[in-house]
Order: sequence, then C-alpha cells, then structure tokens
Amino acid sequence: MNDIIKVSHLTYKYLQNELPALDDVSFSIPSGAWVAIVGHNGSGKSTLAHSLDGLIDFKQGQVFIDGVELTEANVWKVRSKIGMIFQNPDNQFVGATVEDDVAFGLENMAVPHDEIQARVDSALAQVQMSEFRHKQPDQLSGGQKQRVALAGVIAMQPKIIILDEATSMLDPIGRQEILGVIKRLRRKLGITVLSITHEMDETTSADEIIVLNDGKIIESGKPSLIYAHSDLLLKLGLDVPYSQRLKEALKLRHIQTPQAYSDEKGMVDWLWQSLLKA
Amino acid sequence: MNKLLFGRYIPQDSFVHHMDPRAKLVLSFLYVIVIFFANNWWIYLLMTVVALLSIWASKINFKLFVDGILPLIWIIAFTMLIQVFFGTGGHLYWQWGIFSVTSLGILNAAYIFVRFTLIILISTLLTLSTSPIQISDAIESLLKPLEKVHFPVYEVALMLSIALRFVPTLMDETESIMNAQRARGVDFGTGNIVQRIKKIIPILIPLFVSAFNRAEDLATAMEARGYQGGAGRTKYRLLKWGIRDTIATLIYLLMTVVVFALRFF
Repeated sequence: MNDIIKVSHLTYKYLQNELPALDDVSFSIPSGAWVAIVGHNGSGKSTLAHSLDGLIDFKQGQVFIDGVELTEANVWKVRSKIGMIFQNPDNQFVGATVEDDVAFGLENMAVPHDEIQARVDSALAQVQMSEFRHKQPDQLSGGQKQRVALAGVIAMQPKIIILDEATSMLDPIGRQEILGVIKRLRRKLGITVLSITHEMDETTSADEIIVLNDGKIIESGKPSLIYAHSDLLLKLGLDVPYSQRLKEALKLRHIQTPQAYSDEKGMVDWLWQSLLKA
Repeated sequence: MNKLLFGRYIPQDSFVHHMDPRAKLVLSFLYVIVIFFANNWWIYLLMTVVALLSIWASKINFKLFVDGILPLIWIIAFTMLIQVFFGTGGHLYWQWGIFSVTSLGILNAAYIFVRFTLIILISTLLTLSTSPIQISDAIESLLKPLEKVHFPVYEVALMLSIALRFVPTLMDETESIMNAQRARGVDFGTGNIVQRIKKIIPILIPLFVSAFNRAEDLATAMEARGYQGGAGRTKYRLLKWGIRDTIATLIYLLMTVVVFALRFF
C-alpha cells in the first residue's frame, strides 16, 4: 500500500506564541487506514489537521497528499481530495437548508446541476438524513448537523476524511452515529480516515494512534501498544479506554488478563469465560 | 421577533407557492406601484379583487393576513386622521384654525385606508408564500445584469442567505447570554431607559465576540469545502419560469392596463 498522506519535518509557529505549535512533525499514513491523532488541548493536533488541508500557511516542512505536494498553486487540488469535518456543528453549516448545505461543496466544484441532485440524494441517504432535506439548521440537533456535514463531505467523494474533533460537542448517541457512518463508509469505499480527538474511546477502532504533545509526536503505534502505556497517557492529560482501565485494575489484584487490547465487549466475553474456568 | 421577521413562511401546495419567486417579487412591486395611480373606487374595487384572488390562490388562512395588518393599524389610523383634518377641497363640513374637515379629505382618507391595507395584504402574501432563501435567490437572479458593471451579485446573495441562516443561531445565543447574566443577578425588566440600555451592553459584547468566532470558523469550513468566490460555481437551486408565472403576469398586466385606462380616459 502506498502512503496517501506523507508529512515531513512540518514546523509551524503562531505569531503570538513563543513555542511552535508543530515542531518537526513527520509521519505517513497508508491509503485506507484509520489513524487517530490524540493530544490534550493546545498539543497542536488541530493545527496539524489544518495544515494538511492548506488552511494554515506553514513555512517549514512538506506535506504530500495522494502524491501531490501541498503548495500555494495546487492547494485547491489537495482540498478536493480531503473532506474535513470541524468541531462546531453550527459554524460549518453554510446552506439555508440541509440539501443546500450538502450541495455547497459541489457547487464550488462546478458540478453540473443534475449530478449535484443525484449526489446530494445519495449522500443524504448514506447518513440517513433524507427525510430532513428541507429542514433548516435550527430545527436539527447537533448530531444531525454533523451528519449533514458528513453528507457534504461524502458528496464531494474525497479520498481522505479528517475529523477535527468532530464529535466533541455531541452527546454519546450523536457520537456513535457519526462514528458508525464513518466505519461503514470506510468499509464500502476504502476512504482513509484521520480522526483528531482527545476522547480515547474514539480511538479504539483506529489502526494506528499518534500521540502529540507540545507540537511533537511522542509516540505512535497500534492502539494496544499505546494503551499499554497508560501512565504516559494519563500524564499527558488523556484518558485510557474503560476496558483498559479495568484490565489495569485486575492486574493490580494479580489477575492474569489477555495481552492484546480488547474492547468492552471483548472484556465482557473474557470475564464470562474466566468465570466459567474458575 | 424571529417568528415575526423570518419564520413567517407558511409551506403550502398552492398555485402561488409553486410560482417562480422572481415573478412573485416583480408582480408584488408592480402591484404596489400601480396602486399609487388609483384615484377612483372602480380602480380600488378592481385591485381589491386581484389581491383577494391572489390570496385565495395561495390557500393560506386569511386570518394570518389580518394578523399582518393589526400591528400597523395605528400607523394607518394616524395617516387617515392627518388626511381628514388637513385635507382640503370639496364641501367644507367643519373648520377650526388650520384644521378642516372636507368631503375630499374624508374621501382621500378612505382611499389611503384601502391603499395601505392592499399593500400590506400583497406584501404579506409574498413573505407568507415565499421562503427567505427563495427571495434571496430571486434577488440574486434579478440583480444578475449588474454583474456587467462588476457588482458582486453572487457574493451579496450568499451574504444575505448566510445572514438569514444565522439569525436563529444568534437569537439562541442571545437568549443564553441573557440567562447567564440573569444567573448573575441582572434584572432586564426594571430601571429607566438609560439603565436598561446599559444592561444591553454586557449582552452585545459577548455576542459580537462569538459572532466573529463563528464567522472565522465558517470561513475556514467554506474554504475547506472548496469555496473560491462566486465565479465558476454551478447552482443547485434553479429558478424555473412556468406556466403559472405567465398566467399571473398576464393577469397583473391586464390589471395594470385597466387601471391606467380607468384613470386617464
């Protein structure tokens, strides 16, 4: 598999700050992967997401998206490959109604009217918002608005979806709905997903986790590897998924637990089985 | 306030609702202009019939139109009184200093009442049967010729539609800021006018700050979705001129011709 995102030596400093928000960051993401970037507030994770889409004008370092280097000349080409969903559901809703909002990106790409119609229909169906197509944003919940934002991204058929803390303002149900749709899309279309979050529970379905602190990558690897360093995560102000915390608590009581990471359901199954054995 | 200004659109499946918003906008303007040429009861009768026919074709409950007139009843009454007391000409009934009641004055007052009422009915019909986004589309389309003189028609229309879209959001925000102030002991209902205005300032400042933050977020989101200005975009919403629009235009043109005939011949 070739790398769809390649970042090398990316450094960026905000004018008003002493320390750089991103400090010599290099990584690459293979096509079709789900990568979670975690870090506490101000760790530089949002800055990183914005630089990948050319929304921040960085001076040092290089970013390649799907083989194209991000420069001023081809920033629009790069943006057409990336669909971004931001944190605040209200502040990314451009259209007057749901269908207008989904069509906004397609209008920008000068897609012909009939095709816009077809793509809006199918995108709304994929996020199960078809019946809301004539609704105005103030008639929708936060989770529904984020689903509309996701439909707007789907309609543009990007290769990469970046979730910039897209679920942090939602309730647990809204969060599950968004993540569920993303998982389905990934299976169906093989889209690469980059999710930026401080919610460790959201990282359990990732192939890889990158931990960012003070603009530097301090660790990266498979979720099971990252979760095993729970003391480090806690030191960085991040949480550990519930099943991992349970495992640690069991370890303290000298109970043998499986080495590999397992989600809540996996832990429940394991607990039942060990009860039977005991 | 929100409901009064923007939430007034009543969705319906009617002749008027399915008309092209451009036609509705232009015909409403035409109606308002023509009514200023009215100078006898025959014309008013004809124009009332046209207004009532249009309202009937919209299938909207007439009570909503009455609700549209009621808030303006004092302005109408005031204008009528001025006509009654200051109007001159015709038979003189009563005079006291500069005040006089004459037959022509009373007639003019009656004309003004009808004229006001009809204008309100027709403009209410426009806003009740056309959603704000359709009106903004119509304005964009009608201003299109101004692109020749480099007027940013598309950008203005987009600004208008984003402004309309954020009205409810900012209303909610105002409400929660006010609640936050109330929780800190501010009482918005008491004090004289100066004190009350002073209490508005701690609402406006956070509201402005948040509006600017929202604007920046929105600009970023629009850019991320490939927005590069109005040039070269396609339109999802297309305005279609249909048979209904032609019929309505013909009726209104016929009305205009008859009004001018009754007035000048």
